[in-house]
Amino acid sequence: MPKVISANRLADGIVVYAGRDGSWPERLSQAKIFASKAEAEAGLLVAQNDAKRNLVVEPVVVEVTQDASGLRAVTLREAIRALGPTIDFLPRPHAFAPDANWAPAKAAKQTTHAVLRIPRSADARENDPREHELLSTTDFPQEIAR
Amino acid sequence: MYRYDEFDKSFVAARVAQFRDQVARRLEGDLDEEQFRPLRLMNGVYLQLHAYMLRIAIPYGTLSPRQLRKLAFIARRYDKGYGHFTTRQNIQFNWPALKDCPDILNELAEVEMHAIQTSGNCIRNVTADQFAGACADEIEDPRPYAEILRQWSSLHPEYSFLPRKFKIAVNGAAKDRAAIRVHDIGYQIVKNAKGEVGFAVYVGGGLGRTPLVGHKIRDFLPNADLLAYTNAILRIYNLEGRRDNKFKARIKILVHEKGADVIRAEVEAEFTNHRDDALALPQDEIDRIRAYFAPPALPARATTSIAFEKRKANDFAFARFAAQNVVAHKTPGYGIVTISLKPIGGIPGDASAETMETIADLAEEFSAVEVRVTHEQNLVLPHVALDDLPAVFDRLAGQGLATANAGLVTDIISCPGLDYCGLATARSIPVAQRISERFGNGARAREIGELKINISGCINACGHHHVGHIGILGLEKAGSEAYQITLGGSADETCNVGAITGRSFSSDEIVNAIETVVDTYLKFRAGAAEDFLAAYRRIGMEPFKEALYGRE
Repeated sequence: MPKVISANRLADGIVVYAGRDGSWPERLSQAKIFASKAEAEAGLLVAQNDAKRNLVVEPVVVEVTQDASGLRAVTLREAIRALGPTIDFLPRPHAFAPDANWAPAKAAKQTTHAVLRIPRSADARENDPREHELLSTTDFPQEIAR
Repeated sequence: MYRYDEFDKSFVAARVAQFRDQVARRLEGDLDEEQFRPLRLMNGVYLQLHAYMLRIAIPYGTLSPRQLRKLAFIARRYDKGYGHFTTRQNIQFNWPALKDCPDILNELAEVEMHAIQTSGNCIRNVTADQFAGACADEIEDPRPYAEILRQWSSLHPEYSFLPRKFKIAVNGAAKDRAAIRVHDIGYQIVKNAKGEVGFAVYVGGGLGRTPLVGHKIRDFLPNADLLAYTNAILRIYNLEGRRDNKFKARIKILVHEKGADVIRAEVEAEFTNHRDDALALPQDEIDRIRAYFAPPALPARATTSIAFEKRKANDFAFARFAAQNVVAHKTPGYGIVTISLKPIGGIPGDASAETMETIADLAEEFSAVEVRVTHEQNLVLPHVALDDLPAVFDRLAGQGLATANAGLVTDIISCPGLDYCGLATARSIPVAQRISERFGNGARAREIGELKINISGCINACGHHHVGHIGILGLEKAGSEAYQITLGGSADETCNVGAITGRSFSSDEIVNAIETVVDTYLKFRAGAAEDFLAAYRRIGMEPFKEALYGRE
């Protein structure tokens, strides 16, 4: 099974992957692929050096699968690390300007309550313009796309 | 509420400066991760799946609007616009950068907050009844004692390297809303025959992988001896608690292995030998701290509010909110309002910066400048005039914060689970959301009545699943999420650890399984007045087992 190396960036903790050019990109798709256990172990030694250089924290080998659509983490834990929380966790921008006059009944339709509601039928976040990398459930391995 | 004096201020400022230096040394490479990890943990900074997490202490769950606005500011400036209120009445931010943490702690210090002892093997944030100082059934406000414990235990040199973490809760009302019997030490305020106030002392409760209910080791401890007795318990634990096995290191294991009678005798001996030490609390010191928690000067009001009654009669949504989320205040004409952070389908305990600001505004205008955090992950306005309740309700409803489900099936306690937590074995939040959507908050939820569902994403039990009337524990089974159900748990004065129903359920099956449990309750209950827990205690596990698994 192919493998990649993942860690968290020291300064901000964000999930990163050992890249093909020695950098630590944030996307699994940009990770360097190690075909065998021996290669991954050699890669891990290099990564541990980057940990000593205070770039990243706790590098580990992560098993992935590769198909036409790209790389996928095998375990649910690593899929969540790669793709972010499976929940619609970000509050949306406030629906009205702070100084605008508002009527409660109207505002109720599009504020925090609506924000925190997750339509289960659409766990999907396609075309979501928000800053964090959020992908639809179709990007999750079949067995975890609940 | 308590205000920092000069000592507190300089103490917290020194701590921020120290941590700033430690973070700088880490980023520059003078400290490696192994050296730095215990330092960051002592300041509430964890490394989770996606980022660092900062856990901020909210002592005994009491917040001022100013503090809540600061948390909103931090959410916006340093995080992704929200925070998560926890089962220890604390708040966690899920996305702070390590390099920003000293600045965040500095911001917090400005409003007399910190993250000290929110992690590590020390005495953690002391929790208390969220209705403290307001509820009608209170013997005495527990918060002055919680504050005394906080001051005494902060960076206590003898107790900074305990075998394991140590959690204390203090409850002051007849009803236990602080879950004291699942704490390392639980103090229940009581009055003796002479009318003196003191504590019944419970030791050795806890959840996690070995859930145990605490044992009462003393019926009455004079309040002056609070620290001396706590000290005696901690000394015994510090000496005898197991350091050879992390999973057996909590005091509950010591009490379980040696027996409560042996521990009682040891604690009493230690206490008697050191009773005259400097730890006896002078009455004037108790009074000094108590003065910070003096009840607010609430203007006198008629017991019956015409505005409140009128709105109740004409507005079903308001009437429901009043019935479900408002409880009696000790002052006539006032109520205690629970603001549910569990909108239907929402993330339990999450609050956006806007939500925090709305609630801060309401507290300032309508609740004597006070907010409380509950261990059930909701917020509370403790002192609201019934006359003002229509206005408060409208403002909450305008922000989607008027879900009338406090104590109902959708008021679910949930840990962050595998969506955030590095220790989790399964997700909890999505399960909570799906259950919430399944039951909704209409006639069906009302029919079901009081029902506590608690969900944990691993055996560490941060979601308190063992003491949910229905508990759900997320596990990993052959690479997939699996959920075990427990029934009959309770965290109140009738504290009980739930019993496992049987084999676990897949993520696909779990919501149906919970519905089966609820339907079984509805089928067998003696009437609408018999809530889930009472029915379970009467009919036992069998009917539920049969409904879930058939005659396997």
